[in-house]
Amino acid sequence: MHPENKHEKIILAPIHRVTTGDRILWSILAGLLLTGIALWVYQFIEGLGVTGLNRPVYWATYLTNFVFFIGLAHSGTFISAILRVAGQSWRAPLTRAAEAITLFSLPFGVAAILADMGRPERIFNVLFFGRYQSPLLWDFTAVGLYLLSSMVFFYLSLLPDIALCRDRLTDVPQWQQKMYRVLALGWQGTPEQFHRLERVLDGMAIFMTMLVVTVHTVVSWVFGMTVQPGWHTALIGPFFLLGAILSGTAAVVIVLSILRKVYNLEKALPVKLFNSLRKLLITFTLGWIYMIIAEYLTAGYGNMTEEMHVVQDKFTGDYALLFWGMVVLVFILPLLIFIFKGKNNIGWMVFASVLINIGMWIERYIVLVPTQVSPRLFHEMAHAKYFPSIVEIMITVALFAGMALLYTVFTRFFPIIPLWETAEELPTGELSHQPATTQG
Amino acid sequence: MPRWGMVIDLDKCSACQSCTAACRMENNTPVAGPDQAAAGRTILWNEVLPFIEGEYPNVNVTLIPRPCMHCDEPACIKVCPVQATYKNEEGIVLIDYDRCIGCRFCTVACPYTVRYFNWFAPQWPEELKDHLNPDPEVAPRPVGVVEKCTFCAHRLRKAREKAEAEGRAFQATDYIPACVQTCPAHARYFGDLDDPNSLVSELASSPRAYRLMEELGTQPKVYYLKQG
Amino acid sequence: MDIGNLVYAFFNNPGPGGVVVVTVLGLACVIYYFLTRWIVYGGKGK
Repeated sequence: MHPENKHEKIILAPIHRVTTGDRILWSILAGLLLTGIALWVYQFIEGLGVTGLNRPVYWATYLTNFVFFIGLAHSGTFISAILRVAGQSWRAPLTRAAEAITLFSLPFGVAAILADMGRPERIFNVLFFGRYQSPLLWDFTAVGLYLLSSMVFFYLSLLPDIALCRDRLTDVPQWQQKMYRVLALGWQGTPEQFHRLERVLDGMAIFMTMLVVTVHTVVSWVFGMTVQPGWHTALIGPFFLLGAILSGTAAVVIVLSILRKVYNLEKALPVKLFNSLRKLLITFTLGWIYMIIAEYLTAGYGNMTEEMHVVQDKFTGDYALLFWGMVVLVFILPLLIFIFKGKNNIGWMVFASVLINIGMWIERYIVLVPTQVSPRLFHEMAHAKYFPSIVEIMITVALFAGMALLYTVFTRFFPIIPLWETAEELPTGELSHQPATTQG
Repeated sequence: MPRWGMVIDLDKCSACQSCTAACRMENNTPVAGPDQAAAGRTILWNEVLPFIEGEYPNVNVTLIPRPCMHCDEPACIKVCPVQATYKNEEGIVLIDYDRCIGCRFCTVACPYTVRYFNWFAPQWPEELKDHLNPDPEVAPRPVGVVEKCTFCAHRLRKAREKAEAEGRAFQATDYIPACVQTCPAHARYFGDLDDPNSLVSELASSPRAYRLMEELGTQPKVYYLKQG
Repeated sequence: MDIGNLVYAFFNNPGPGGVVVVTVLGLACVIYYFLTRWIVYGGKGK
């Protein structure tokens, strides 16, 4: 009933017990998360004045987090869905780890928006009084559907392995065994069940691919549909989409290398996988610089006054350090590292991926803030300022801590590498995915 | 239905800012205080903006009183997810403070930056607290919602009620926003743009008349008469 | 049936948008529930 997987022992090993190290890590992460929640309550009581936001910089850190976390979510869908549709079977060992990033980053993207609202208790007004003319309604629909679909896709992909845990892990605590029994939904692993599961996952993969494109484009249209310089560009949709796939794929590299080290999964996650990701990352970062050039060359050459205030701010003004820092972190350094140091070297790959993600957070900030700092009516006479307050910084930290907490807890209770998808053969008699080779 | 608009004569305006002060007292906008003002948190439904070109001694200064433009094609209304901001039948762009969720999409969408946000619960120095306008329509707004110039829509309501109480027809001249009424230089005019005989219609079609950022397609209803 | 008016009313009044969101998400929930059932039932009564 359970497909044979020669790495089963290694993959199940982390689940057998929760270590002291885990408890310490989880306590720290939980502490950071609770601090963030406490500060959010403080902000709820006092008002958004406790942030660094002002007129005209009405949107900054929280919105940056929103876009960034939704962008991270694209990692999973890209690996699980898009590569699945493209028939890239090498991706099989990565799917669950990548999908878990999606699953655990989306809620914190949503939390970032709640943190940004002046009256979060009125969120349901969007359902009672929603107007589809507003890009926020498109956002609500797309992100909501994406969150729901990711949860379902994740759960369905996990189902055979929950059943395996139910059957194999007899030495875990009672409550844990019960959890597997309940969540397994009585899965028996019959050929027909596997056959149906594969078909649904295939269908969902296509749907999720379309959803991924829609979600991030729609998120960008919150900015693109205004007439503000720097935002009102047709390129913003593709730009955000590519940025999401870039930061998401880099996040997958980071997460995989940590899992590999911490859980001794070297045999199940060979260097070959990282080499494939490397090729993708080179493509994406080249695509990113193409968009940056297209965007700024067009704006700069056109020389329209209100656009130029924003462009100059980024190139030579108050935001130059962040802007050029972003270019170095997202493009220059990673590309050099990938090309000259990255092959067969996970350490360098991770370093470059971390740089990319830091750079991508800055990129979202750079899209958001300079445009507001030079408002259309004022641009000739005023230059606003913004700096995040401690409340915004700690809530940002809490968002990352929350995501890390959910992720690390998950890896202690469920196999992070899909056993059934990397098995030699499925009970259907077909070889649905070629098993990853273990060289390296 | 009348279509309310405003004309501001920049030759007559001396930038005394009485309009700004009158608007504050009429509409109970909160006082930010020096620290918050330095942080960019002031709420001034009407502001006088200095546009200064050139270097001394060849300076060209334009001082522009800026209320809400009450656009006919507002950018703010399009983006509100809950229609907390809306344009009524007479062309006035208003906000339902009870419905606003404080997302501030409207504040970033407005190209004229006329919309303000309540970063904290409203506060006033003791001396001003006794002089708040008691009209419930301009009751102080709570924390977390957006607010802006309403062309003193509460005065429109009062003018209509007064006309009815006096048993006569309501006339456009019965309704006048606080800033227009207060201006010592009589630089501001207000009335029905759809009435070809009204003063604002005449002024709005004068060769000196222009609107801010007309190319954006927002169709603002505040006209300025060019200096000089 | 004036389609133009209907479209205008949909986009310019509060409420219908919320209905769309709830319908889309609700429909997705229902579909996913039945898909899950169909998958898991593939072992029984065959």
